[in-house]
Amino acid sequence: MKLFFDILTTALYTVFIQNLVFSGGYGSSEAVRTAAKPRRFFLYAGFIVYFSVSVSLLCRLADNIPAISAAGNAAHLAVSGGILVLVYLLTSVFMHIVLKAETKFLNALGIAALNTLVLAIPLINRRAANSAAQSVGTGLGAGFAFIVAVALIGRGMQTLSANKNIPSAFQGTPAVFLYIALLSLAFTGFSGSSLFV
Amino acid sequence: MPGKQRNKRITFGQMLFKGAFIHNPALIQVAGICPAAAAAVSLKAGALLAGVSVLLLLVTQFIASAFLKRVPRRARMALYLLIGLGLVCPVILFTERTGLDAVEVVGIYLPLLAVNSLTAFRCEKIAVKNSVRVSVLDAVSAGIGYAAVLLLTGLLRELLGSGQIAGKPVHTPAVPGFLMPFGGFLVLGFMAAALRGFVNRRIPRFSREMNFEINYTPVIMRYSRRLAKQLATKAQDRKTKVYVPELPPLPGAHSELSQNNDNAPPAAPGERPDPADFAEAAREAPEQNGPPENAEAPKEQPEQADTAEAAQETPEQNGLPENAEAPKEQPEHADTAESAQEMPEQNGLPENAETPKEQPDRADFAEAARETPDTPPSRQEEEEAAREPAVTADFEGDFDTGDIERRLKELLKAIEEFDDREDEGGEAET
Repeated sequence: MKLFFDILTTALYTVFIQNLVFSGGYGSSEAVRTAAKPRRFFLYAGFIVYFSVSVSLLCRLADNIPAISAAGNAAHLAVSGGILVLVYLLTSVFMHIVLKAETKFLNALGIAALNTLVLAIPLINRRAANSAAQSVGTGLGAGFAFIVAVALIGRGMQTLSANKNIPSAFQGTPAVFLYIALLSLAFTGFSGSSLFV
Repeated sequence: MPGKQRNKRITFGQMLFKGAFIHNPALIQVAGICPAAAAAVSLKAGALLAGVSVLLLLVTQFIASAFLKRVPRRARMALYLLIGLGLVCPVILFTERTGLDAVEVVGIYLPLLAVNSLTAFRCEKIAVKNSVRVSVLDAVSAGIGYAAVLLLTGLLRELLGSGQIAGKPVHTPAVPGFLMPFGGFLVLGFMAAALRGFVNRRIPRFSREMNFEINYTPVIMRYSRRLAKQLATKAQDRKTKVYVPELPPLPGAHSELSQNNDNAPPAAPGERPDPADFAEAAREAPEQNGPPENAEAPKEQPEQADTAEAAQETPEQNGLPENAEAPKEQPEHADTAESAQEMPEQNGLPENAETPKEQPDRADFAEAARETPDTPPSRQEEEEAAREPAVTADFEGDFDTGDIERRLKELLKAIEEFDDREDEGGEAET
């Protein structure tokens, strides 16, 4: 039961209190692009949840090896990146050969893997000294944080693109950036940070 | 080699102008936002991130263009990550040993440059499709544009957030919120607006290239005339060949549709015809033309949804005034001469002619009108139709026929398939 609550609380914290996309900016480019082309939304979301959870857990297990846990930042990054590449290649081969996945699924897999959000999770876990359960929770939360971010950004982009009263200089990406800034401000407020003092 | 000739024509000045300014990677193409929004909180941090990013972009694009063109895309993505790690890890070691204070500020965002979306974006869009020279020039131009954004963002956030410039105090009020990602997005938004405003005012011919495309695909189907109009307009605007399924007569709609069409106004000249009106014409036309049973339809069918054709046929078939003008012919779709020749033959086909077994892949509403069988509804059908709610001619009724839903879904699917083909091989395109 404790394991379950560890995962749940960490995941909820990562999604709502410290949403990694809005509070940390991780994967924000991909969130904006996915929101602009939402037909692949569920595909990207599923892949990012999968990669963030699996890479987070595997990197945490690798940290149990004394040589890796004692390594410096550069070596740890190399190990985390290597695990990400390995997970990506294995998944890609499995989907291609066993599941006979179409090219567009494999392409989406690559974009989901090559994402700052996915690689950030092992680095955050190391800094926060998270346990294995908390690492899984962080990975799960990161994936769902991406989903929440894309849903919020996508809804805002639809409204912004339909609004013809926006000055021409602010139409398009400027309006989207400002909208994300407001969302980020809201999530910063949830985390209790002070903005003006 | 036409590709080489095209490459030779591109000068560095042109590439620099477009890559760094018009198609700025961060402000216009929304690539590599994470370091700019979160980590570039001071001029030094911005400079460090900019230097590593430009180096990474140059090396990765060079390798991708020179060696990775024949490598499958899914393997290329892994190689970009490995190249990034191979460059960033030594930089981290170097900065840790030299003790740069900017490293503490940048934190884990420096390692994350290895998976910067900007690298994959430029490599897949430019490097693997062009020569090494063009790829390197593009990397330089995009790198300069990205570095300028990082430096300017760092400068502004340091000034506004901590009241300093390069560590030296400036007597301005400091708002710590600018040091958070919220401030980064805010500064990026205003910088993008300034860039767009400058281009709109000074060089307006490039302003269209700076648009950020949003392809919203509706998820919830609405049975309304408005949606049908939007879908047809969307399909035509994209100049795609969309399969517009024919609409057979709906039960109980015969008499009502005929009455409505008798009073239908003629299409205004030059006005884009309304697809819903053509659907009405499609359902109504067989009654008036009266093709015999077992009539053989022409083997060659037009390949596109042909609204202009249907519009031209509509006035005659629906009993509209003869002096009503048909809409102007649209060069991409219209095939009015062909339809004018086909119509008499179809209305007077021999009785022993065979009915085609397969429907054409791409039909139009007029084709649907010609091919719809003119069998009178049986008594059972009439009774069923009487039980069903009335169907208005303008699709605004509250009917529950799954047929319309299915066909609108087919139309949506066709548009989505076109979208898939559109960005095939360039998933990261904006």
